[in-house]
Amino acid sequence: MYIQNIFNPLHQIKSYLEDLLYNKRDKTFTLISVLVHILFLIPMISFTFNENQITDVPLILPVEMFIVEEKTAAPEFEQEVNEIIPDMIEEVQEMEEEVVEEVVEEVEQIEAKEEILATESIEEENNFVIDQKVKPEEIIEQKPEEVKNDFEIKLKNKPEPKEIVEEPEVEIVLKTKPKKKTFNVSKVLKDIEQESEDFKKEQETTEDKQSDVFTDEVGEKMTISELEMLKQQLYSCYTVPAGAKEFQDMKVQVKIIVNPDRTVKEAIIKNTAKMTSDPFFRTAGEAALRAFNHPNCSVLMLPEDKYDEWNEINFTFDFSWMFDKV
Amino acid sequence: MLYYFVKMKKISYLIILFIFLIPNSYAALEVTISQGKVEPTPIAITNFFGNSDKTVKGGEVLREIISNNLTNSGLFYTVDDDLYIQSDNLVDKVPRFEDWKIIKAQFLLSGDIKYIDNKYSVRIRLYDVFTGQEIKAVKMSIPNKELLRRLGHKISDLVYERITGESGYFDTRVVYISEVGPLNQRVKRLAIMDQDGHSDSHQFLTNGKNLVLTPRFAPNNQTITYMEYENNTPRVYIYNLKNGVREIVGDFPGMTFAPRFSPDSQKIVMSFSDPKTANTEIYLMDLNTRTIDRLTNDPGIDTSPSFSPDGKKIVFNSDRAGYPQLYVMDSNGKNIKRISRGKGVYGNPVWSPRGDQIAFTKLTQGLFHIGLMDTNGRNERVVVKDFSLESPAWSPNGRYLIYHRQQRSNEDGTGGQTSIHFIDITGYNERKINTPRDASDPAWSPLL
Repeated sequence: MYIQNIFNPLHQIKSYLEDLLYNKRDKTFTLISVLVHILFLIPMISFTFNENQITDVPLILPVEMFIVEEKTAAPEFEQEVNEIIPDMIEEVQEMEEEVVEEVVEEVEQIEAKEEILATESIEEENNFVIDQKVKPEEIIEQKPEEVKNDFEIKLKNKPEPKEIVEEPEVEIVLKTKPKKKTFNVSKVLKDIEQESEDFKKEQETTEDKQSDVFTDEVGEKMTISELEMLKQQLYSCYTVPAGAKEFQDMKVQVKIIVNPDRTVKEAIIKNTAKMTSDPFFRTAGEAALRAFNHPNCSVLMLPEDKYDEWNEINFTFDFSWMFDKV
Repeated sequence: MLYYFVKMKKISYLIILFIFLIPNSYAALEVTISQGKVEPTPIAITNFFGNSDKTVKGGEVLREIISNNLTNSGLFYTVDDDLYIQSDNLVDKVPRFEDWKIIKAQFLLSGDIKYIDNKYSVRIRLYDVFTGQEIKAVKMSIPNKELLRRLGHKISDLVYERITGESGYFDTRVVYISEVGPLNQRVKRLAIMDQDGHSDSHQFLTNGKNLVLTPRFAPNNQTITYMEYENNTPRVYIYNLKNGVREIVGDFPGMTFAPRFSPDSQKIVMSFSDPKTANTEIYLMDLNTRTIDRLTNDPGIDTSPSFSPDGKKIVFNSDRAGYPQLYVMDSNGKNIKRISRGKGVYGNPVWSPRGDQIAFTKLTQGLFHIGLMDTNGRNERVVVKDFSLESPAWSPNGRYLIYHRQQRSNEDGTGGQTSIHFIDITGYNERKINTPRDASDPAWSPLL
């Protein structure tokens, strides 16, 4: 029986709780032990919850569309052009043979009816000259294979290391941004109203209390005004995709990782599958990514003291606003 | 025992509470961007460097064509080349993107042209300046310089498609009616030109002896159909631009109007009046069998039919309700529904190649309007209005409308000039297409 109890975990827990509740063990030690266990437990639990997010990360691939283009665009188009151009040449050659006679007859007919066209006879002749000239001439055959070999230039466009971009405007704005967490109106009142010291003290204490309340409410979260500032900055860097027309119900989600110096470390588009399958989505996605590479947005307007809040930001680019006005 | 169990339960509640609270502290900041700059995208186009005198000139021509095309689209503007910091050939080297960022170029197109083995060889590279990536690299060749303009249009299409995501429209042609002379002695000829109206591309297809009207391109090949009045007899022709062969589809009694191809280009839908009843109805002709089916049967005048791109529906114009309105029916003539609801006289409906909208003309308050509506008649809106606007036609990508505008005429027959314009369906970026003479009734070809 005793051996059974030793290996029975329920019995172990029961005996532990008995110890705890009937003061058989030092309470302080027990408390410390529990706290230490909780301290271990919290990160472990949080890691397990973050596991889903972490497993998602590899699915969100960095967007490097040029790789696809290099593989697909050049050879396909070359083939296409080689098909089109001879086709056009053939058609024009045939036209030249068959139509020119007809056109000459038409010219003669027009000349016979010169009274109708009297007001424009000279111009008419010129038109026919244009007409004949436009008929294309003979064409030399192409050799697409040779062309293809010629152009094996593979510019692996690994972007050059980025130099530090000048951001005068951004810096200026950031400097002007209030960094205080509290909103102290009393100092302003001091300068403007010049009231008595007693009144000032009374006013200061009142405002300080209010500001404390305000700070407590906001905590370490980004304030609405801070978020708005960030949005306004992005608006100025984000050019809506040229010719946006199929984007009415489209939403592009971009996850960015931000360095402590507020520069964008990485910007990646979710829905990577659509980036390759849907040309409109690709256009919208690229436009969104371009916003984070815009010189005016290379340093984001974020409060320096809230890095934990903005080290990772999920942006949703919504296009529906454009279509209310069309 | 029960006591311990209750205690343990409390502890487990606490743990569960932790479980729900902790992940929230790790949630990333969420920001929605619902505004942005709506403006033409700046693109820098470098010189197309040549290796000889004639290729240098060819490069200049190419650059000009591409720049004009993109600018005329209204979606791009070419950054002034005086601002370029890097001015060398960038086809064989990685650009200094910072230099292009400074001048606010979002995209960079670089190219060169060589004359090798009796052909012109052109290489282009398109870069996204802000991300510092190459997004397109193509090499093309043409056997002679006469095809340089087409090559320029092709490159423009590539750039347009890559950046906007929608198909281009630059390598296309516009067929139209060229007009000369006073209004009472107007000589009208069928003519064709590149979509940009460049003078080198203009060409007349008929001699002006007979009156020609309403040319329309087949949706998927280089064939046009049009009306020609020979000895006052209306005839419907098909003109194959590939081989120059013209073919009479048929002589039709009475007034005949607006022949237009079906989406598969195998049928023509048109309207003509039955001499017995003098009533205009819509008919469908199979070009292979030359059989004709009547689609409508109503005392009102039914005209201007236009197929939906899937071929299942036809929009047309009818005054069966007392004044001209727009109706949609199945392609077999059944299930007719009125779709226009506004005040005014509706006409010339044309179904968008994308299938989502119908362009039309509307006369109201003494002015002509060109407008758009959904295929069920909702969301009607005016794109452009003027004294006289007629014949809206769609660009092959469904983004632009082309139409003609007529000035007021004088009592002595002067005035009344006609000109061709195109406009973005948003109502912005209206541009006139230059033609050597007055021009009307344009129709846009599919991509070549």
